[in-house]
Amino acid sequence: MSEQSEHCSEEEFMMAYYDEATEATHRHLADCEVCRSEMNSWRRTLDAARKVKVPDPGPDYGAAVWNRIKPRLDSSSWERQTSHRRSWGWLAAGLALAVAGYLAGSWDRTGTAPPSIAESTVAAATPDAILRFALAQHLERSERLLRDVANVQGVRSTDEDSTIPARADRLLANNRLMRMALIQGADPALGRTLEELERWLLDVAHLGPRTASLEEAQLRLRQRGLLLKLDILKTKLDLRNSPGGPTKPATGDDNGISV
Amino acid sequence: MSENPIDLDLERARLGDLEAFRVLVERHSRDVFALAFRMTRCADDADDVVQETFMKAWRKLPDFEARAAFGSWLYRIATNCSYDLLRRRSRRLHRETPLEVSAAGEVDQISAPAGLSPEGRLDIRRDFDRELGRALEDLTGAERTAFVLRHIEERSVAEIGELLGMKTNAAKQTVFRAVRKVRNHLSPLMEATR
Repeated sequence: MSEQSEHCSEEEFMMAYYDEATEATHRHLADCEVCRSEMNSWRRTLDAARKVKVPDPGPDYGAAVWNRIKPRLDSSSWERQTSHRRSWGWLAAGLALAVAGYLAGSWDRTGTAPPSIAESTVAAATPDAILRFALAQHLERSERLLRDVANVQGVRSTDEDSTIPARADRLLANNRLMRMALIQGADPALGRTLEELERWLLDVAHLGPRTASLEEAQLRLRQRGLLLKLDILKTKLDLRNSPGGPTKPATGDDNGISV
Repeated sequence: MSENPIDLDLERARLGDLEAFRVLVERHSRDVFALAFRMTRCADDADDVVQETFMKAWRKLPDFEARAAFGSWLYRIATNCSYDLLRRRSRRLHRETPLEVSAAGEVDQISAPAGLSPEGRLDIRRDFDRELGRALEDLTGAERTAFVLRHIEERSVAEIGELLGMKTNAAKQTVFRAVRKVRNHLSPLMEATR
């Protein structure tokens, strides 16, 4: 009850209607005939205002909406959006975690030894160096998976973690992070290659009767020339990382990566 | 493999795949229309909200966090689009769609004098819906959005505050003002039909 009145206030009636009344309001409503009657009046009015019958837009409504909006959508508008959303700091932090994951060996359960780089080195590295390192590791593992898919006859394995879909699934999250970092870092061409790789990884991670078959994944791999593209990227990255290789022009901007 | 089932169409759409986005549009359009209609009470406006919602969703998809539910994310965009439209609409003339009241069950929600014929009950319901429409038109965009979200969509005050960009207490006061206005508008008619 409000302090000024012996009966419930409008706000208390509303709270009671939405089952949010205080204990004191509950007790008062149980005892006070006037407020109980007023509460019933609130209920009658508000209950009647509750139902709105929505007209049926028809079974083909979704298709009609699509036809109207499609001319206004295009892939380029999506690319423009991806190019400037995330802050570099967030991406660098994510990549550092990814690199730490690599170092711990948790990303690769196929028996490959982790690279012998101290974690303190990663902590001290620039975002650009982190990205290069993570990218090199990712391309290596992706290429291994691509070659296995190209040659394999079936997706079964004695170890569930090393089935081809499981390996593709583990690569997906990392690929997404790097794709975003590369597009953000003014290398959209490389980002697009990872985008292509990501579509393929999605297919492979979810091989099944209602999605893509292994044969379809193998066909797409050949059609898109993904192995060749990854090979070229790896070669360029090796050249960039080697002591005698070409160096990135000094722009004062660590966000860019150019392989 | 991840334990949670993945929505392949959503994942492909996030990569900029228009065909996958078409599947999402076709899957969610009717739900977005229903929400937009409850907010605007106008089929044409609701249709505009649906289109705007999916245009915005396409542009924002790269920012969508995969662990969130796509339907909830879309709901939030549609609510904001409806709210924007209501604010714009308050400055121009418009005509809302009269509510369809053919089902006898809905007529029964309103107390009517005993012995009244079905046609009489239907008339009362029509009068009530007309008054409800007028009551909603008298609300500000924020009040109307808050009223629909709380009263019809049954969202919590905290959620409404988040959706409208208000603190919880401000959202609670907005809901309260809206409910009081609607009730004051409808009460005389309700009393007359007892």
